[in-house]
Amino acid sequence: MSSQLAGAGTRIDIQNVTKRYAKSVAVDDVSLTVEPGEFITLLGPSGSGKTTTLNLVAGFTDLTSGSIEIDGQRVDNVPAHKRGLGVVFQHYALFPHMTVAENIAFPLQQRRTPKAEQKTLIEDALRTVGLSGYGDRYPRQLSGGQQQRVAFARAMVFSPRALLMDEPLGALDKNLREKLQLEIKRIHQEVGRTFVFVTHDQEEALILSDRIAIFNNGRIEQVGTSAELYERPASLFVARFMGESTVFRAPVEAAGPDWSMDFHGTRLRGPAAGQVPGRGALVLRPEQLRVAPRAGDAPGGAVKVPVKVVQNIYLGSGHKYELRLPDGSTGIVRTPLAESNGLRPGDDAVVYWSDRDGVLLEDSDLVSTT
Amino acid sequence: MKHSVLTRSLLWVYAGLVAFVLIAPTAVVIPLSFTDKASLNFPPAGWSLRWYENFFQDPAWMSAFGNSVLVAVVVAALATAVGTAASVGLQKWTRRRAAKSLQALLLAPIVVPAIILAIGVYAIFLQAQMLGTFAGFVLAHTVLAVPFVVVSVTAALAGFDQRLATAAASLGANRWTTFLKVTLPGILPGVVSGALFAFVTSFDEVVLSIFIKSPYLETLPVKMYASVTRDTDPTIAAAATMIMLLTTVIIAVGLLSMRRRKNV
Repeated sequence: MSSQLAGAGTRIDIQNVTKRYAKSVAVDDVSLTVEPGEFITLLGPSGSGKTTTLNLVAGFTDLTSGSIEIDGQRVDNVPAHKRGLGVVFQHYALFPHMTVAENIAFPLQQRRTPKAEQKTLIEDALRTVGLSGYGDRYPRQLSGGQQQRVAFARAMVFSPRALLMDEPLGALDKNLREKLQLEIKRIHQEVGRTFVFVTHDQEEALILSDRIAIFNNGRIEQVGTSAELYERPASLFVARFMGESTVFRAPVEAAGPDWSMDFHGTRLRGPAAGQVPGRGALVLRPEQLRVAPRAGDAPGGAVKVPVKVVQNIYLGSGHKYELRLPDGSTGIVRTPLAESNGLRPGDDAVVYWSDRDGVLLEDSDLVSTT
Repeated sequence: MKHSVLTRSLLWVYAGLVAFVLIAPTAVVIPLSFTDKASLNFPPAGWSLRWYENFFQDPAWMSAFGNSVLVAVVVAALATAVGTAASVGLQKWTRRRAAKSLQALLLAPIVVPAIILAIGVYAIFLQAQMLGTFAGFVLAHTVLAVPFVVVSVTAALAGFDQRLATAAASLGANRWTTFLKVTLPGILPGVVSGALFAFVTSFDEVVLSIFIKSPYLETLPVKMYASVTRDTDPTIAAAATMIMLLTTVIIAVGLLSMRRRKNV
């Protein structure tokens, strides 16, 4: 279905943006370029600066320094109502005294769109979100999911330069959330506009995004596709935030491409790291690891570390092991069903992997155990 | 926790007693207004409507009544506009401590004894030659009425979801449109009740009005006060009964319409 709402995407340039409050820095020198038509997600824990960054782009908050450009045009001194961006809020923010159709007409009235054209656009918007025929209802007569669809329709009906979404699915239950995720993805493909999405749910980010920007402490830790973030995390924080991982931490010896580290009597090696840090954290994903009852069961060239089995969980498609590493931290291993080995909680075992796998990162938190 | 029957009935008796003490002095006026004698005797020996007749036929009473209604309507409009604007401004002011102090200042007319205010207003109006003028009555009463609007609109704003205003901005509405189309409908119950309080405040104001009246312009309460000190004519009871009826109806309508809105 071709929609009247379809249009070319918009480029958003966030350059060295800082937002400082009296006692804290909410956004700290953030730079990010959103490509035309791209679906980008700002992902991070609460208080990491992702929502503040969105509010700065939307114009709800004034920035302390830096600049924001939309299609090459500087907007950081333009008031919110003149930026021409659509915003969807976590709590819908529908006007309770207006019907669904009146809510959707609101942005068109501000732009003095002719009445006849308004009618077509409203119907088109309602159809896009699957709520044709709901125009005369009041928001309170709709479910949470329906209200959020109306909020989407209202934010898109005036063909905004980009659509900004601040945890739009955060208030919905899991099933509805998953359904609407797919719908947002469909709408994005249908209208081809630039979408900026804020969430703290990494799974949601994986499903929706072309690219993900990971926020932590007011800064962007890394920007990339989900595969890039999962396979080549730039920091321990990113590695942990994007999926499960096992971390071996130890001082790095023999700096250079042929680095190695001594992890409780085991020599660990791995692929050449860009910048070999003093204190290292070797990160391995659950499917890169294997576990065997004895060291002799592992292939010759593998890196091997003795562990204790804490849990062996049968998942149908395979097993998930929770292991206790020599330094007391937890390791997670996923293996296909074919490799079942009968290990039980309390058993001694060996975790092993190919030295072509793993990412060596700087150990940013020295006290933490995961 | 469930109370015993005895506790509950004692509570009802007590509540009834308090209600009686509160209402009785006011209610006494109603039978007084229907007396057939030319004096304020309670309980009245015989009944008649002659004092109501007198009220509606005496041009002095009718003009005082007309003045009161007119002044109160203008005061309600003015105080609602000023008070609402002040509440919105105070809420948006980011320097919270300054906003709080200014709000206390705005509410001062409730706390300051009316007689002190009256002397001040009298002195100023004397110089400005505003004694006994319509504008003078409106201004003086507005000062007294604004605090009631500020209190009720501030409460309404506290319950209003400011994110709706943010959403309106994102949809292209400037501040003024946002206020008219989104904020105002949201706080309307508070604005309406503020307006009603402002009307009633002006309509039964007597202390200030006695100071600023003139032989050519006086309001109903002033006329009543003069009447009770001069000739204790039961017309005053008729007037009081009607004031009571009018204010009760206005407040009741206001409360009911607010409750309906809330239940929407």
